[in-house]
Parts: sequence; C-alpha cells; structure tokens
Amino acid sequence: MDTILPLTVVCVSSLVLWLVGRLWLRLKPAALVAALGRAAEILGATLFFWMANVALSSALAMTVRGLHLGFVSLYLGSDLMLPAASLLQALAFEAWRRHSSASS
Amino acid sequence: MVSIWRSLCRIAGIAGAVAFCAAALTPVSRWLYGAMLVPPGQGNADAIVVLGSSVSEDAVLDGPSLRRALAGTLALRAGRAPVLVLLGCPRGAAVEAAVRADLARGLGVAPDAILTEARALTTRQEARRVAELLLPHGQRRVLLVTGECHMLRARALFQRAGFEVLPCPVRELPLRATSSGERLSLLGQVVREGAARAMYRLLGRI
Repeated sequence: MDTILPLTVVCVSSLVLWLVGRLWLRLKPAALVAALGRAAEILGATLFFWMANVALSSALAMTVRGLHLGFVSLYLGSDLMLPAASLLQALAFEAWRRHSSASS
Repeated sequence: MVSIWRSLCRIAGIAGAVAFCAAALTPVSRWLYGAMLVPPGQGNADAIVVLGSSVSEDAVLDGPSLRRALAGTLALRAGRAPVLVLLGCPRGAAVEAAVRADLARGLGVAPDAILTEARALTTRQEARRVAELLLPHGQRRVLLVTGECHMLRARALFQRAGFEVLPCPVRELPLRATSSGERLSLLGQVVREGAARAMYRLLGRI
C-alpha cells in the first residue's frame, strides 16, 4: 500500500493530464514523444549539473581543509539544496541554449 | 557539439528515470544496502567506542547519534566492557560527546566508566584520538558502535590505528523498506557511504 498508493496517484493524474491535453487543448499525440525527449534532456542536464555541484563542493571542502582554514564536512555535498538548484540551473541553461539556437 | 550535449543529456535522463523507478519501486536499494553490512562481533572488549554523528546547537542529538549512544550504553550495562568512550564534536555551545555522556549518566552509567572525546571531526580523526586515549593503557580490543552502513569503513580505520575491533553495528534505517521514501533513503545512504569508501581507498586510508 505504501508504494501502490503514490504510484496509483501518479498514473491517474498522468492519465487526466493526457485527456486534458488531447480533448480540451487539442494537443498532437506525436508532439508528446518529442516533449518526453525534451524532458529526458532536462533531467539528464540536471544530473550532470548535480554531479558537477557535488564535485565542486567536495573540492572546496578539501581545499579549505588542506589550507587549514577550518573544517568543512564532505557530507554537505549531500545537502538537498544541491539537486534542487541543479534542476533550476538545467532549466535555465536549456532555455538559454534553445533561445540562442532560435535567434541565430 | 550541441547535438552531442543533447544526446548525452537524453541518455542520462532516461537512465536516471529508470534508476529512480528501480530504486523507488523495487527491492534493489535494500539489496545494495544489505551488501554493505558487517555482522556484529561476539564477546567482550576492553572498551566500548561510540562514534559521533551530529548534535544541534540547542543540544538535541540527531537520530543516529542517539541510537548509537543508546546502543553503547546498553552494551556497557550488559557487561561487554568496563569503559564507555563517547565521541562527538562541538556545534555552537553544544558538545555532542558531553550531551551523550549526560544521557549515559541519566541511564545509570557510573561517571568514572565514561570517557569523552570531542576533538575529532572525521572518522579517521576519531580512530587517532581514541588510539591516543586507549592504546597507552593496553586497551586494544574495542567494541565499535556506529551505523551499520558506516561500520566497514570505520572498522578498517580503527584496525589501521592498532585496534582489534568487535563490530557493534546500529540499524539507522529500516531495512524492510516498504515505502518509496524509505527505499530512496536507503539508496541515498548507499551512495554516500560508497563515495566515502571510494575516496578513502583512493587516498590510501583504507
């Protein structure tokens, strides 16, 4: 039940979204495939930015320790702010890339 | 260049979504977590060593710190060693080791059976500080109390410091994870500890 309920909720809301898109907004089914591809690209960009942010966090922590400026825990790289900020970075970067391609 | 970036992102995104669903909806996280565990050691020791976790600035021990402190206290009361060494560094005005010592005394442990060490900031430093504390007195055999996922790395560091280690792993996450959130927590712990072990191996510390 702990897994079935959230899964059911997501499936039902996805079905409702699809019906709203098809019947009310008259969106094309073929465009959904391209949209899912774009969503995968943004998710992938988020993962890359997240890994880069974690690597940078670790490098900064080791530098601070190495220069005896104090102690910074490496576990700060697992702060939940990093994946959230990485998503925002990915959205901004992808929008910037698309707008640059469109205007060139 | 742009198309390479888009292809890499797309592949990473699909792989990430598949990995997320596998971690959240299947027992994969539990299997990975279970593969990292060390069984508890039997027998008595010269000292019980309880590794630190975290304390808030208003002296509230976090979940893992409290669980470890309780496990160490219970082990002492069960007669597994005559001495309880409590570690944990300061945060603001609160010192984790001191808060834990107050807890142990409140649970009936005699004050002269408790030693505290508050200067260590990493597991490696904990092993060194405890070695300075115990080895000069011939106390080599220790019952090491820490999180079950952390035990493998902690044991290796304490063995390197010269101790004979009896593991006393403390369960900090439900292994029988039944919700997606619990499974993702297990995976998060696997990734964190896996990265820490990889780094320690790279640096030649274990």
